[in-house]
Parts: sequence; C-alpha cells; structure tokens
Amino acid sequence: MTAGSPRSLSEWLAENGRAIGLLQVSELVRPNTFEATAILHQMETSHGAPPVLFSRVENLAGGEAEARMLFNTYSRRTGVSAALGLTTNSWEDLLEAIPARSNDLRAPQHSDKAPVQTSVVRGADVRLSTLPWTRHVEMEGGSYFTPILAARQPGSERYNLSWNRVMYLDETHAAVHISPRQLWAFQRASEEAGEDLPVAIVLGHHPAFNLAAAALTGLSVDEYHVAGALMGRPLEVSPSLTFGPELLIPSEAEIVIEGRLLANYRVVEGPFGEYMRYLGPQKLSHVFEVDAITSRPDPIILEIFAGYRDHLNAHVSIHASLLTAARAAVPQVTRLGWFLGGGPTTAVVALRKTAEGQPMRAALALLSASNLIKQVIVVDDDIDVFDAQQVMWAISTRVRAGEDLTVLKGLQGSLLDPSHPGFGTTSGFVIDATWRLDAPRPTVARVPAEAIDSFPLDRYSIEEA
Amino acid sequence: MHIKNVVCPRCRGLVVVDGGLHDIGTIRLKCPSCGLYFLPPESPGTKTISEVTNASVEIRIWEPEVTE
Repeated sequence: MTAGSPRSLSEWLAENGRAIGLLQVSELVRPNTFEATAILHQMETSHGAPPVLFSRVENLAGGEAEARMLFNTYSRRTGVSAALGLTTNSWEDLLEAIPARSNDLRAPQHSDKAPVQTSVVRGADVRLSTLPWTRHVEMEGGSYFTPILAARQPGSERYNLSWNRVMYLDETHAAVHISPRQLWAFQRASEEAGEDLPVAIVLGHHPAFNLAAAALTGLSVDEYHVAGALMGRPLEVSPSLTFGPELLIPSEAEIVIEGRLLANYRVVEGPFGEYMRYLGPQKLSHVFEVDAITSRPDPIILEIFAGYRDHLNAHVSIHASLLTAARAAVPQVTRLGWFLGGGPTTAVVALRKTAEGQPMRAALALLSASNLIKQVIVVDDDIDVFDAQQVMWAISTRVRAGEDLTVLKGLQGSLLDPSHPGFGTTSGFVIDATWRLDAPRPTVARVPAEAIDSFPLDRYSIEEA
Repeated sequence: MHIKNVVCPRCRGLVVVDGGLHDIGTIRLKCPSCGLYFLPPESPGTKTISEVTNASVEIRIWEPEVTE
C-alpha cells in the first residue's frame, strides 16, 4: 500500500464498493426496531451476506439521522481483504498478511485540520438520540453501537484501541462493556486515582482501523501505530475539542463522541448478541458521559452485524496474532483454524511434528496469548483445520484419551463465554490428535488415483434405476 | 459468564442475567422487553458489588431514574 491508500471510510468505500459487492438500501430504515438486521438476516441466505449501506436511517428520536450506516463490512473475505488493501480471497493469505503488515508500525501524523470536527455539538446541546442506534437481535437490552474506543494510557503517550459494545442510556450517557484487558486496566488506574478516563468513541473509520483495534498487541505497543500499519499509511490525529492534546482523536473518522468513562460508577447493561452466537447477559458495565459529538459531512457509521458472520470475521486480526504466537513457540506450526460455532474459544492448530511435545507447547502458546482460547486441538498437517469433519476424523482415529487429553484448570476465561463463572477461573483442554512419531501410520483407504484416471465417469451411461 | 434466566414480573419476558449481578440482589435488573426495573426475586444476596465488578474502589450504581 502507498501514501495514496484511502484515509477514511468514505474514500475506502468509493474505491472498494464495487469490488466487495456493496449493496445499498435507499428506503428510510429504522435500525432501532430490528429493521436493519432483519434485512441483513434475510440477505445472509438470499445474497450471501453482502456488505450493505443503508443510505437513510432513523435516529433514536424518530427523525432521519444525518448519517448513513454500513453493515457487513467483514462478512465476506473480499471485505476483509479490501480492508487491508489486498485482493486475495484466501483466509490463509490474510492470516499471513496481517502479521507482516503489523510489523510495519507507523507513527501517527499530527493534523491541525480534522474533517471529523467539521460539525460540532457540545455541552448542553449534546443529544445522543440524534444518532441511529441499533437493535441487532431479540432480547437485546437496549439500543447499541459497536464502535472503536480510543484511550491514552494514564501517565503515558501510548494509545489503546478496543472494539466495544456501547448501549444508549440517556442523551448524555452510554454504557460500555469492557473486557478485562488494556482499556479495562487504563480505566482501573484512573479510577484508583479518583479520575475519569478520557475516551473517544469512533463511529466509523477506515475498516483497517477497526481491525487494528481487534489485534492482540503488547502493552508497549501504541495501537495508533498499529492502525497506521494496517491502513498502509500513518493515522492522522488531532487534539480533541474537550481534552486538547491530552486525547488525540483520529482526524479522518466519520463521527467521534468525546467523553469520559466515569470513575466509581457502573450500570446495568445488556443482553447483547455476541460472536459466540449467544446473548451476552445483562451485567454491570462502565458508564460513559458525553462531552461533545463531532462529525464530518455526510458521515458513514461502520456497524457490526452482531452475532453473525460479520462479527466473527472481524476477529481476523486476533486470528492472525494467535497464529503468530503459536509459530513463535513452535516453528513447525502450519495453520490455525476455528469454527463458526464459538469462534476463538476452541482453536485447531496443525503442525508438521518433528519432536514429541511440540503439540502441547503450541497449545500452551495459544492459551497464553489470549483469554479467548480455552480449548486447543492439535492435528497433523494433513488435516484441514477449517474442516470440522476432518478434525473429528483425527480425534476419532489418532487420540487415546488416557495419553492425549490434558485438562487444564485455573485458566482465566472470557467474560463472554456463557460457561464461564464471571471473574472466577475456568478450565480448558488440549487434545493432541497427532500421530506419535514412532507409530506406524495406517494407509488411508482410497481408490487408486490411476484407476480414477483410467475410468472417467463420462465413459459410462448412468441413469436412475 | 455464569447465566441466570429471570422472568420479568410485569410482562413475563425473559431477562438473561450475569450470575454475579443476579446474586448481589440489591441492584435492579432492566427488562429488555418492557423496560421495567426490578430486583431479582430469587437472588441469594451472596455477592457484593466489588466482588462482581472486581473494582478496587467504592462503586455506585448509575440508574436514569436515580440521577435524573
């Protein structure tokens, strides 16, 4: 990618809309009544889950919002690929490209002029109900956005990006679900100091910006730099209107809501449709108080179709990070897969084993890299890690549970895992479904390839008996 | 996340609730169907807010009705 790469969601859509098969709905749609997601649900089967731009959407106050909404950006591989400036339709190519791109960290470029600050609403004029909040799935606890939150680490110049569910509370407040990772640690540090944490809620940016937010990065890595790496150009940043240079906001975002995560407050939030395809339950979440809403002309909000393919595929940068972690521990690792049901909870890793013990070491690397992973199945590299039938074939024929199944207790789990008891620990397992190196491998029963070549079907008259 | 299914006393709608929040017992749940705030009737009251939020400071509960 070059300096000519798109700098905003609007530019990205103009360049890639046709390639990703973007469809547009022109009628006025009310996202808060499940209308948008009802249309998207039907398009999963009728149109193969295309990206959809709703050009007229109703806001929470019942008027027409001054924004458009984009869903299903990541529902197809072409969308994920285009987000990264690539043309591949191979998921595995994407997994290889993301770590390579992530290493090309780019410091943000400071800009005095922020398109996202073209329109400004502050103080007593703030009305969150002027925005087109969405209800995604039945029994959801309220009206939601799925934005990116940008926050500066207290006492540091480093920024974290995270992808959160945000629920409308009133005209100046929203509830934010935060997993116990980096943003959670930032908020906790501020809270212990008796201070609110300044945060920018970003409603729409270049789709690679969102993928940077999902990447698993170390505490020392500034995720504004990662965003530049994945976008293929430095992220442009500007001082926020509320906090000045104390909180830099992405200049080319579509809409930014400036505000603070309040110290000492929590609020009942949820349920919400999560990537595991269950409702994440109602829980105590953080409270966000709004100071300003800024936007560019004709903004486009990038929203996730929660609980559906769009949601799971948006984990692609986590997927790539985990593959990198497994290979760092065991270079013989070739592939890493997971399934639509449960997503990253259960990983399947393939390797070309050269020593006993490598399967367990690769599994432990995955389990250490993210609290999303609790179960790992390790297979030989003749097994397609994305094919559940092949994975079960390996488990059925290469595993002796007494030797090859290890149960791990006391793991930190994911709060979104419905089997996990809150802040208590969970347990997981490793199944080593690889052949022992000293075991004779049985020959796979199959018709000789030469015979198939010698007796092609078109030589025979085949009809219903 | 441990889940409790609670029935709204007004509309009989189902509220899917985190087990920790449920077990505090003094925090009102919100019914997604009708908007009613209500205390979970079968909560054992065995959890504290600090246990459930894992916070290291005193936590207050924000409710629109209380703060408006």
